[in-house]
Amino acid sequence: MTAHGLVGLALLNLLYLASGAGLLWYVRGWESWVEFARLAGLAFLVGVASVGSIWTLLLIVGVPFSLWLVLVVPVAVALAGLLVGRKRGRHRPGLGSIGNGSGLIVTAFGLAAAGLFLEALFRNARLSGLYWWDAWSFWVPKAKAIYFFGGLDEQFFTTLPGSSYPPLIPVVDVAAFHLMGGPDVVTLHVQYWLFGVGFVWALSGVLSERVPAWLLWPFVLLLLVAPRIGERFHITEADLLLDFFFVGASILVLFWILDRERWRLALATILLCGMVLTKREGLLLAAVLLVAALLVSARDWRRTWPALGVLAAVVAAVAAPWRIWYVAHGVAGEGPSGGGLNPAESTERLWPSFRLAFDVLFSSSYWSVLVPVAVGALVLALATRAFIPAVFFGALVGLVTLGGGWITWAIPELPITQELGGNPIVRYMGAAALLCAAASPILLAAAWSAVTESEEAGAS
Amino acid sequence: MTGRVALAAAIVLVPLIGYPVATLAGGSPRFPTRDECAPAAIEGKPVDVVFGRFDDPETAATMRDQVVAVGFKGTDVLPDGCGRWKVVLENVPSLEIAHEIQEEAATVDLRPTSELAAGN
Repeated sequence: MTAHGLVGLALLNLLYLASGAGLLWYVRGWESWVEFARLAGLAFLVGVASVGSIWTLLLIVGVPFSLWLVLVVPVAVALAGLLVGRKRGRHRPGLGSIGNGSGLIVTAFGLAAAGLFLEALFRNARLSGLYWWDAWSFWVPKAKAIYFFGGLDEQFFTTLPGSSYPPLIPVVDVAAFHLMGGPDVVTLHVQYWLFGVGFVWALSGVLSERVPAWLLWPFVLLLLVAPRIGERFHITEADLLLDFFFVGASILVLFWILDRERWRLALATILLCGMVLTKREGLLLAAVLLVAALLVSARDWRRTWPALGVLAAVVAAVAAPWRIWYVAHGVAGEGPSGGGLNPAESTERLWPSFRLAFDVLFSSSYWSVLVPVAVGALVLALATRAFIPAVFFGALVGLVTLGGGWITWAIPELPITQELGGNPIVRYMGAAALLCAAASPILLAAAWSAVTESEEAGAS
Repeated sequence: MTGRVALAAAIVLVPLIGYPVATLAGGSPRFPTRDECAPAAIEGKPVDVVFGRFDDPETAATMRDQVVAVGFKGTDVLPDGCGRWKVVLENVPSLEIAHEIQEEAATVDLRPTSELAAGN
């Protein structure tokens, strides 16, 4: 059973990769297989978001969730991407070269260290029990209900805790159950470990475009050893996958602002679609990313804002069907019970709520030194006039933190505490911490580049 | 392949292959047998007095109620870590006292066993 489960998961994740590769081929293409290897992590993450979103939307409109659906959707996405990409004139990639500079050896050490750590985490994921509250109280039960009943059982889905949460996580769990041959909730942890591996691959691959290896790999390793990040890769909950989509989309949007390559925005849109179908916090994170992007690209607003408007419209259209489903079935909404827009309400909670979000952001027991290092990198980037990445990440982390404070303030039932069972603030702020891990090397690389360019200009 | 590329490949592949090979050299992962879920009591360490193990919690709870009803207050139902439920009087301070409890239990037709207390 478990060998079957592992082989099934391997097949499922190859399907995610293939569908993401098809989309990447359509929107961008790749010149060489070495280049594809660099972007394969991004393709995987995009595959999870796109296929997961399509499965989720089909489930919501009532299509029975069967093994056939699990197989047909990723194969169709992959083939469609390949065929349309071919029509767009993509030519067959060559083998390519991995380069021969000093960065190669640094990259090799980084890959070896990150790979060893991930292998060690696999041992944890391989035989983990279903210990986490949200996982066994509603994420996995929802998945089992879809697996056994083939759809959204109305009574079950409207009475479980977290009934307004969108169902992408249960859907990807069900896909894993089908390919594993049954609802194997132990081997399921390997699927989440694979999401983590895909994210690390995506992050290092995308950042390596703009960040030298000696700056990139220390941050990849720092991210992996942060207490509430690497060690939680195998946990069958929505938080980290949501954060992976958010950070992936944020980097793509920033790089699009910097170089205007449209494929980045297309893939960011797909990741944001996955995000708003993963957790209700996804809506808030999508909104703050949009605001940060609008802010940073304001100088060229005639060109950038319409594109960001299209992104927002697509994400809203994908988010809508689930919200219609739960409203139609009498489930209480995702919005805060306290209204959340009138500052005169619950004024005594205002400062403690924002203070709580700030304390969690800077807590080394959750995120090690990720956040203070990112603040240092931000200051260096500003000092060297690398304004766009500095303002983008500064605004984004600031808005995410304000959003965390707003959640606590606007939901009066939430105690002002870091206790996981009482307040989701620690889970939510993981997005900001992971963003800091991705932002630091980008900011430092921008600062380094500015310094070396000014030295070269001075010398000439 | 240049020397530097070969060196980079070795840096990546040697640990990534060596680690799982070294790990699996000692055999594939093993699970404790059910016998290993009942470690023998040791003199000088706290003892659990176990009145029985059951496949479902309801049967175990019924047994617990019977045990408590005849006077063994504090007896509880706990998972034993091996997929069963044990009816247990936890953390008896010594093996000697555990034997006294067993003798007393025998007078009401109960046959508990002494085990090393969980966490010791």
